[in-house]
Amino acid sequence: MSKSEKKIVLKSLDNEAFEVEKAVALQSQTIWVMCEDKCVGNEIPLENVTGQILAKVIDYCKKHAVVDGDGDESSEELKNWDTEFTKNMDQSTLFNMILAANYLNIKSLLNLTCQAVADKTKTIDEFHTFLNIENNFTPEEEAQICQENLWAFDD
Amino acid sequence: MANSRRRRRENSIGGGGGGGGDSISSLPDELLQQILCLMPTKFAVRTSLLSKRWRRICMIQDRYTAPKMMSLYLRTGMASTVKHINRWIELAKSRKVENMSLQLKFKTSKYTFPDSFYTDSFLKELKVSIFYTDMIPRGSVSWTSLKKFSLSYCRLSDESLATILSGCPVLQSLTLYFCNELRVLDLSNSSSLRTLRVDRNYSAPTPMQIVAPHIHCLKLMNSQLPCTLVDVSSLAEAKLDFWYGSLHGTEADSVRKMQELLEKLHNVEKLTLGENFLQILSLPKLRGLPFPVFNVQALKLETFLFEYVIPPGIERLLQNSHYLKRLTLHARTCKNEVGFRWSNSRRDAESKHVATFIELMFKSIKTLEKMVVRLKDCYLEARGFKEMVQTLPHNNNDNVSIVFSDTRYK
Repeated sequence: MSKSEKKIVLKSLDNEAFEVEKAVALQSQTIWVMCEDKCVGNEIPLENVTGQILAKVIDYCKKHAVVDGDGDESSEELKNWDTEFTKNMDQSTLFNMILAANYLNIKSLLNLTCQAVADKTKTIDEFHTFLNIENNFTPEEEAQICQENLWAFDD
Repeated sequence: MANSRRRRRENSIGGGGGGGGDSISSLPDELLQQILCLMPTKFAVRTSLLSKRWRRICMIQDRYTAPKMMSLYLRTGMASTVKHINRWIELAKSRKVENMSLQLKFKTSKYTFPDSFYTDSFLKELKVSIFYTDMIPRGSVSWTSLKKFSLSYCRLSDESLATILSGCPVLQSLTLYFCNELRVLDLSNSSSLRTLRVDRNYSAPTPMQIVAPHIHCLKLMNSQLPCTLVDVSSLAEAKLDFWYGSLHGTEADSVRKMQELLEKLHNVEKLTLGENFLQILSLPKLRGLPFPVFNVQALKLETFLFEYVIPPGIERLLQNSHYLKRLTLHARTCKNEVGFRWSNSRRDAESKHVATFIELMFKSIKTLEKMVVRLKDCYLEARGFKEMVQTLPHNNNDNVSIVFSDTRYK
């Protein structure tokens, strides 16, 4: 395999180009299928992902493509890295990361970003604030929902 | 709670909130469902209070009728729940659960696993923790996909374990925690088993023997007497320690048993030894113990550097490790936590031990490439280890890189 065949260029929605190792990019099932089908050349246009988000996705794929070192230590290190990776993402970034992971079909990244959102639900009020959505229930409806699932609201 | 929520509603209307284009709430339903799947069930149900849309999604997402359930974690200690346990196990089976954890903590023997429990082709990971309960499969066992199996506090005979293992053809990892009735742990028929972890009870010397010719990795927590490793001929990685830093039994007996144990470790490439293990190696009655030559390349010592740990236990270990490339010192015991409050004199004494240790290391080992000292960063700073290492004579071994790392971020 020549050097050029090992590399692949990913082009974002806003025309930013990223040259990455093939092994890094192929963690995306979507890209994998595109390469298998040979329907694209060495440059893959990703019309749903901005350069800013794509850069983060590539960071993630790079980290998960090469894991050096030994056994349980490295998996724990990877876990810590994942936690740090999503820790300070705001809602808009998480939203775009989830969409990108879904579109690119990177299962572990989708799981990680969805988990990051799920972890915001320490209390329903916190989650409400985080999502900033409108509560369109009447007090009566709200009381009824609580009544139907008493066990889930009992603390 | 209702009051604060109502206020938020007013706020969000006033602030024009309601989820802009880039908000999580505007994700398609199936992605929101995926997020709900990752929450504890209780919180997932609570999201039905967020808005009408979330309530709809929450209703669609019925965990108990979903065709596939990834994991089931069941924990109970109430006698009144015994009659429901089988129904949960049945549910898990019908939903093709891959990861199941059962923690049954009854005061007396109240529960028997149904025969159907022992047949499941989807289970990949199973954790069973059952107090005062026997595990006796009456028929054959068939866990054809099971890769990781962990048993704790279980009354389990050698024969029952053999029956269970005969039904796990792809088992890779086995953990036995306080399974006191085992005598001889014979794993010679489990050819795919690579990792074995055995924690023996503090007082019970069982299992007494381990026959595991296929395992590559052994983690063994010994009781007061070492376990006899009859056959661990494929072993490449081992982690060993004792519950206490003393040995029971007669001198001749303990010397012989420790010697046998050390002999079995001589081919291991990655070796981790705990504080009590090192302490036992330094006991006066074991001083005459003949040490084999260790082929270990990566040695990790999980210990605090006490005066009685370093010589002669560590000294002899290092002297006999001719091929060592990487040495890790991991001070991770709880003693580390109080160490910070020690008086200056104590801290100085300890720095001296570190100095002795490092000097010893340079003297004994010429092959070393990397040494890692792991402590909490604040302690490293407080004790000035880093500065101290600069002043040490590196002798004829300039190739060693010494890395200090913080235990909090491995």
